[in-house]
Amino acid sequence: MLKVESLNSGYGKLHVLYDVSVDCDKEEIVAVVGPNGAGKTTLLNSIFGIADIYSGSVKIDGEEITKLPAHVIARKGIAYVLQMINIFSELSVEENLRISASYAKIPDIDKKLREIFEIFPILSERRKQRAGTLSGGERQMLAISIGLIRDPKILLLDEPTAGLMPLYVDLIIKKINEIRKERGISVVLVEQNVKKALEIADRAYVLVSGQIIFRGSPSDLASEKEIMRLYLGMGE
Amino acid sequence: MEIISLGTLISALTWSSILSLMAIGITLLYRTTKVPNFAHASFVTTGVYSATIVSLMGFHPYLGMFLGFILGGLEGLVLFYAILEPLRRRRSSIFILMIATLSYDILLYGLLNVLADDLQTTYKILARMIYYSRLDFSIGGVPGVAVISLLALITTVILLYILLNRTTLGVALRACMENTALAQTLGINVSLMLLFSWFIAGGIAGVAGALLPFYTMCGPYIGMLYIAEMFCASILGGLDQIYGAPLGGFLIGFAKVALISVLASFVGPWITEYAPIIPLAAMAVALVLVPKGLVAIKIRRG
Repeated sequence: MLKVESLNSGYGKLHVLYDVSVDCDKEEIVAVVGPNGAGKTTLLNSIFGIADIYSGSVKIDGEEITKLPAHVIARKGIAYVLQMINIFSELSVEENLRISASYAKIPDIDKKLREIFEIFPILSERRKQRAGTLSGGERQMLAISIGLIRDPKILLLDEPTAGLMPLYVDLIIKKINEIRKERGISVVLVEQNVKKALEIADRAYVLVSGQIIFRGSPSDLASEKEIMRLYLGMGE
Repeated sequence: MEIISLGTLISALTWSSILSLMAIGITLLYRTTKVPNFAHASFVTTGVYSATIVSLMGFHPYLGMFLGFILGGLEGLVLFYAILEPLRRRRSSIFILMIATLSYDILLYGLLNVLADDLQTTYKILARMIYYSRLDFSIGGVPGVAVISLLALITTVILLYILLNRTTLGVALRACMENTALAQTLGINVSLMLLFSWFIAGGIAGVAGALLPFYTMCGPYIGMLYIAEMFCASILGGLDQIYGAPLGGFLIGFAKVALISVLASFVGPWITEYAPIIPLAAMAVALVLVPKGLVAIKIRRG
């Protein structure tokens, strides 16, 4: 489904990723974890055409999307939920969702809206409210919904639980898992909360200083005590 | 003693409406591209000559508003597409972009001078002293330009509101104003949206320019003469709020025309020479007291 091969990328002269290869199959959750500044967000930015790619390739279903502009990649069945400013705070909740669906050429937007409101009922109550007035957890639900309403094949999530209270962390992680199972969407999940990410991931990558130092199943990663302790802050 | 005459009030209303139309475009462009557009001066002057061209073709110069919208809009398109967008791609600073708009304005000023000279020699008209007051109509003693300019402003604000709030294109434009990176991830072509905003802003400036010869005598210099006032109105209203521009326009317009008239009745007519100071003083005070503009006060209290 998504294949990133020997990717070298960064921002202008700032080289961040070195020969990074990552893939994500259909209906799979792939977690990318690692310490701060490892290049996790740059990996997602590179896939989505926001960072500068020096060499390597990014393919979706065999189609080369390397170096395409972001707004063109957005129409290839891939949705990216940014980490920080990931909603339009001056638009209403409904406007946020509608504008995303319109540009994804979703035929029946009202039906899609109802589906989203079934997943996150609180957004239905807030639909006319300015998105900037939502709480942290509600904002994150809206951000994921903005991606989800586009009916993507692949969802790129950049730290969706960052800064949320534990109640919302559990809810968001549970919803990501449900979305994958019920909608057959592949998810690339970049997370600081390693424990939570590994609970739902099928496979995991550990990114350190712009290089992949581990790839394998979550259980295999759990047995790598040295990596868990040195880079992920887990274990004794 | 009558402090302020009805004629002065009508004049203030007319100037405020035209100034508001000019300021709306500046605010819109600042919101979308974050660039103070100095070429707005020539977009306005282009409106003046649109009215002249339409008049030479045998139509009423008021119809120059339509030609002014198209020509002003096209000038905006060219500025963004040919100059600003390539600079933006090279990640040029706002300062460079601002200087680029100033350079483009000087280029247009030259072209408008050539046009004025050509109209003067070809059609034997005073193309550097365009004034259509005698062609204007009157309703119960109120000059037509007062009514038309107010109607043009109200129509523009309503159409902008509908565009920005009721259409997908407008909501996408608002999305780009707020966060271009996020807009891109949704598949919105940000460059195309900004290009559209430059067409609209240039077009509205052209409409304002076409009304100007009914209010005052115009020449190729007229836009440059009022550019500081346009910025004053825009900044006073609040650069972050499109609908603040008319508020700033009316405050600056009335302050300049009506206040100076009141002052003249007390201290003498010599004070009218200093009228241009009023908008600048109002802007300076506003920047100190309410840096985000008048609309920000309203929102905070609301």
